[in-house]
Amino acid sequence: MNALNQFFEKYFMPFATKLNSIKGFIAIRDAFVQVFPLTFVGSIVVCINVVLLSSTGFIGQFLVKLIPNLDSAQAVLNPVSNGTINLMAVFIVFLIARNMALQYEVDGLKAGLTSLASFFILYPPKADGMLTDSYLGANGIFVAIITGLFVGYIFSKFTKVDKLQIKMPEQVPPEVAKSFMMAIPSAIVIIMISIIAYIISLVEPQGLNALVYAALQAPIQSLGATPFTPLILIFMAMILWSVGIHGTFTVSPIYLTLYASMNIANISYAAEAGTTVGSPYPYTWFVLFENYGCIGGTGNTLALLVAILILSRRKGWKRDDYTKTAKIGFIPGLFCINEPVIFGLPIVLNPILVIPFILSPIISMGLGALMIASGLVMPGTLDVGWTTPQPIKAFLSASGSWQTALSVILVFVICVLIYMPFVMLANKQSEA
Amino acid sequence: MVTGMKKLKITLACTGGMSTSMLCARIKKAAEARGYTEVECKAYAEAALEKAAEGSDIILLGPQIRHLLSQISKRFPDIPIEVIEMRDYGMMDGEKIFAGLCGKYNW
Repeated sequence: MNALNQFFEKYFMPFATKLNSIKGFIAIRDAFVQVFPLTFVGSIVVCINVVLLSSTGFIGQFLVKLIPNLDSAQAVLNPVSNGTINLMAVFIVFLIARNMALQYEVDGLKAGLTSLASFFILYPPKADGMLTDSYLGANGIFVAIITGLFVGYIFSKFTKVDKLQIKMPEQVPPEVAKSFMMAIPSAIVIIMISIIAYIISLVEPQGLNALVYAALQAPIQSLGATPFTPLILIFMAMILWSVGIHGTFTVSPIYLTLYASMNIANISYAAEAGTTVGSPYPYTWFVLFENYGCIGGTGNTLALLVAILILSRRKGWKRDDYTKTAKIGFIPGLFCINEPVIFGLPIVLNPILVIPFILSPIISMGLGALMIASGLVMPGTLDVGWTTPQPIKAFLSASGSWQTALSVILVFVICVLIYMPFVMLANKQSEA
Repeated sequence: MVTGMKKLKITLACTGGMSTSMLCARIKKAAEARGYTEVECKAYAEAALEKAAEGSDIILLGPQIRHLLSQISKRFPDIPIEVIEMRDYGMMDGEKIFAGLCGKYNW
């Protein structure tokens, strides 16, 4: 086992380290973490409107008997989308540039503001004195990411070039001189962006957003439409976890960048349609992983714990160390935190447990995709917080769907069955 | 063992700050049992470390981000940084981790 251990350490560690150090990835990942409170409230509001305040909702169907015009109450919370989901691109473009700048140790606020300015400089021109809202939300996220990265990078580089600082005569108070100095990098970046926007407008009068939309729409649709992409990503993540590296964290820039606009489009759809049935992108990483790949934590480890606790009652159970770890890890596991289990059993570098660990989320996410495709189950597209316990998370994320909740329970049972033979095998082995 | 007023600021980090937060309480308990009266032990997401880790006596990293050690060391050149051992982390063994630190840093 030591040779395998060393092999992984030698090849995977540097790979993961490199992947996790790329400033752009870090900026993107942090931006989506930072913006979570907004996507969260956007999602919760959809849940409230659909489950509670709708005459066809799970709870609403009873409430409506007390409050006949229950449905009209939805109007109170509907506008929340306009400030959250439908504005995502604007938040992201600011945050990514800010996060880039902070890594270069320059002024994040200025970088963010410059990026925000750039976003609207590149934005489609006004028609009839009005700005279109088409690219403020899901459809604008890709450009927001590129702009944020570009501006963040250029701004940081310019700020560090001394020659660009205007030197004022000594009689000028330092703060005055400083305020001018500080303004130069932003000014240069903004003018550059304006030049770029002009050049683009010669090719596409509606600007960068329209250009990107036309160019990327088809390939992103096809990547996003297939459940295979999340399956490949989870496989990569599980391999990394198997050697003790946070796999989900490492692949997050990939799935965030790829699916960001689709996730927002899904929530936006649910806000308008009042249901997740018919979501434009039902097979995103978010939909498949959050409900089917992460029960108890990445790898559906709660199923492993349950398998251990069940088997520990049988005669001939030797692995009390497993029982102990399973008990410690159970409550965090309910909230999808599983590092104690991954490192405590351990699953890491454990040739027996690693197999079901890698296989179970692939199988379960695949099953989830099949159930969604069959139309029996509603996709869970709303972000109610990744630590929300199942099956509550399934119920809420699919805007009040007991079918989705049930499907998660079913998948959970299957995962327990997948883990069981391997746990029994581990039991035969003496404690190393 | 040191007696009397003794202060320690221990900062833990992992990806979300959640799994390490469970360890915090146990490390704090272990420190208090060894005579440290003012122990501050908090867990953060590694992205939030900048302000949070200032003035820490030590930064402890969850093993799943151990590959970020050199990166984080550069950000905090004056603070010792340790990666928590996998088994200790899995078992949430605050006592063992703290004892190890006492041994290594002569606390």
